[in-house]
Amino acid sequence: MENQTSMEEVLEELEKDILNPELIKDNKSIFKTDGKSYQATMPNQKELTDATNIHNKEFIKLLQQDDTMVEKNLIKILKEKQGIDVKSMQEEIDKIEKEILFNHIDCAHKKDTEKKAIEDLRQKKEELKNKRLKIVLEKAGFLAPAIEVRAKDEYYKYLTSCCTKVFKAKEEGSSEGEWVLVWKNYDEYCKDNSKIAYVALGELTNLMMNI
Amino acid sequence: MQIDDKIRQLAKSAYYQNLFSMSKKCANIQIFDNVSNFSGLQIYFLHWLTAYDMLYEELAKHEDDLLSEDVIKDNYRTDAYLAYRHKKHDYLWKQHRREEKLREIQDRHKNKKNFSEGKQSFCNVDFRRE
Repeated sequence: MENQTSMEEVLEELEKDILNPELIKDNKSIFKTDGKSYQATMPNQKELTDATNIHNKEFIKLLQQDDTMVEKNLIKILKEKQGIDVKSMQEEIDKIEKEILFNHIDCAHKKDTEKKAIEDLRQKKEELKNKRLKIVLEKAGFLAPAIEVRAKDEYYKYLTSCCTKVFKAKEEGSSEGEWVLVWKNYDEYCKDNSKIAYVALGELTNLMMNI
Repeated sequence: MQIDDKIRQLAKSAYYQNLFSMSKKCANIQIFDNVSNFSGLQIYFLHWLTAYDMLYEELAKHEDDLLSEDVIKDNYRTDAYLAYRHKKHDYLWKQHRREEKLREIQDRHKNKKNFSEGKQSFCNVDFRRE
């Protein structure tokens, strides 16, 4: 599946749904894209097992290919051939996290009246968070070709394919109707290059929050 | 507003805090429509629901001068307070463990002293000939 949809469009769609007050009412998430209502549902046990099987199958398939690498080897190659030190990136992330902790402890001791000091600390924390996010994204970018990451992507894509439904109204404009699966199967999802495939993936990962 | 802020806003709201405290007393009260297969967002919400419940309770009891209503209103200051609280409890726990260890050593020394003075035995084995 090629990325034909701009990242801005996808983020815009996700942002719209974040304002939905029904966020936690049930284990579903309703979102609108291109005038249609969609629903991401929490996968059941069977779907999770199937997704794990897809993940494992992809993992083994990639292991047998010549041009693939597990994360450990990729980290080694990145350092030896390109001078990119992923481990030191992680150390930097840990260091920033410690700094955030000290920032928190410092802030906790401020009284309600010390507004200026609290704002300064808040700003400092934002800077630290942004610095951390930049390194996290950079690190994720370098590790994206790793077998583990690619197999995990398949896991979420499979779940998206079987947990996304679209609302089909009985008649146009009617609120009566039913929720039907957007994609008949996983292959159909993989062939879909439209925005909904990416937005739905984002919605589902948001809903699951890596659980 | 980010998803994290939205969830926390809901979790500290009077509506959900009341619902949560009532659900502890009355089993019939449900927070969500579903009773199983919770989404990650719901679990994250429950985490904050419990955290704010604890903070409101501590605020009512005036357990710590550093905790105020303004702290709870502000997500950054809440994070800061929770980090401090965790460290404080961590420190108190370590101090408690240190004191316990010290007591253990003191007791052992006391027993040793008693033993050398022939007052007490360390073991139950009887070495006397039959």
